[in-house]
Amino acid sequence: MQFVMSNRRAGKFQDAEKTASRAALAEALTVLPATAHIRSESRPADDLARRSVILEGTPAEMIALDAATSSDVIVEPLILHEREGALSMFKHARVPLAGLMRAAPAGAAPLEFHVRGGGAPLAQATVILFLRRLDGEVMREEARTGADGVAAFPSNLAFQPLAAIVKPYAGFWARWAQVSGQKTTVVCSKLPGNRRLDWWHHASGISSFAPDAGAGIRVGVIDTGLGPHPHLQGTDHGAFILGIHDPDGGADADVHGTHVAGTIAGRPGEVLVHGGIAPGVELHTARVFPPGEGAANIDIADAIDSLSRAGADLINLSLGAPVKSEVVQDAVQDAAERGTLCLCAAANSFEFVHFPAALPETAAVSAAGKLGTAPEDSVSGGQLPDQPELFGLDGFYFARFSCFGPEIDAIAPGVGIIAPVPARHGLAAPYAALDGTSMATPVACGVLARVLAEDASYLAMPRNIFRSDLARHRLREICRTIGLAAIYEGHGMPRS
Amino acid sequence: MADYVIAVKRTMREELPQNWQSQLEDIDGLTLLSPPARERVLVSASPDALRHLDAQLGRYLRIEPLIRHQTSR
Repeated sequence: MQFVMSNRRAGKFQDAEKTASRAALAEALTVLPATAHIRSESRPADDLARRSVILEGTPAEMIALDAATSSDVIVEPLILHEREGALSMFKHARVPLAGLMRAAPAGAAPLEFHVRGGGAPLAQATVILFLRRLDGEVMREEARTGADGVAAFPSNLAFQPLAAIVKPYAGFWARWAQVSGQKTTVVCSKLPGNRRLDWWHHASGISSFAPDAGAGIRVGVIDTGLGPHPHLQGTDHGAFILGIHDPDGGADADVHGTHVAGTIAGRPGEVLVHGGIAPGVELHTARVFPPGEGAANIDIADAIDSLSRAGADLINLSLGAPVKSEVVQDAVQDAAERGTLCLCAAANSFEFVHFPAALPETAAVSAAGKLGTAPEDSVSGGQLPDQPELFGLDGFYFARFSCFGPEIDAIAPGVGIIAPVPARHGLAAPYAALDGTSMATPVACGVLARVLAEDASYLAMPRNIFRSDLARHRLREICRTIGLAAIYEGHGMPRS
Repeated sequence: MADYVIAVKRTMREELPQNWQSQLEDIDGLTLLSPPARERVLVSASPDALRHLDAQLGRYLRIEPLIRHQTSR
């Protein structure tokens, strides 16, 4: 780690005091531990001014130096200040776990989050607490609310609580929360209900709910699995995990796959909740994610094979890695030659497009939001970009997390998308709002399925490379600009 | 030892020796981690075993590390 040593200036009004303070620092630097070394130094010509030194060493060395030096010398971690604090905290998956639960001192009062929504405690909400350790590193800790709506974290004086993301399991918007003492009460807003269509349907040119839209098109979803959920039906191809196929292992190991599939093919029946973009498609699903882990290239390729061989016209891949897999590319090419077009999420790290989206054979989808579609205090409401050129026409904006580049084919709604999540925790048919290019890709996929279902020339084609080429061509044809540069929106937003 | 994915090249399916998977099993320092399959297998291999595999069957196969993909939520 890097830390800073500096002579103290505050309260030193006499030249002699200032000189003594500088001398104390000079003396401290002569007794540095052997393994610590100076990285850089500001040493003003004025002998009375502050001298600061940046050192490389271990936390233990820093603490030992602090204890051994006089009060005229300040020893503290090198603290970096960033402009985009909220953005760096949003990428919480990259923030290391603090391990508070393991290091909890006995008897200390816990830090509690009381999560409520709709006038009642919210059980099964995930609270992600961000903390700053004494050495300056930001870490995270996660807990889940019980039946009383309370999530508790052990207090630890070595960590300073910063802020938290509170994510209800279903029915309510996720939101940021400021930590206010030992007990923080967080009230989450209810998701909009009593409607079949929402802003992402309207943005896609859909003005009325048609249960048969997309009929005749086979859509594959390769993800964390499917359901159970009463509003989703499909052919389950099972799980492909580290080269082993489990035909009975296709249930959702997370919530992601169900949400993605539901965005395309949710069939709420008579229930007045958000419907899929193309509820009439024939849905085929495969799970490639083990619980809590990433999906392996071999399994993605095997799943593409399985769905493509089953006659999938489109495959939705809301997943990615920063490095290219030739094995996956090979399967994508093979699928294209069987008439299957793969639509892939660009990824969420606001950088270059990840793979397989960046492959020339796939269609890459970035994510858009729309002003006024999510509460301002919700996580979804905070996905606005901080650069003016990322705002487009009609209130659309490029989501602050979305990857971009020349590989982008289309942009689709991917902020505050409400879709089914697995029926768990006593909830019969839960829906949740999620953000991501993962959510944008199934919107684009569903719109394309609706269009292809009405295209007699496409439906009459044999399953070969020309069929997948035509699907890609149709995707580009139905895109309309939302006023962003091509590296952000590609050909624009697909509309049916 | 590290994990690798071995996949048959699309253009080499016809030319690939039928006993390619048993040839894999005969390579010292290489262990099959997934059941024998038609086109792809997961193996654990030492650097020497990998060189041996590449020399013996490399023209028919794609060999790459196990790459983990994440959801784009």
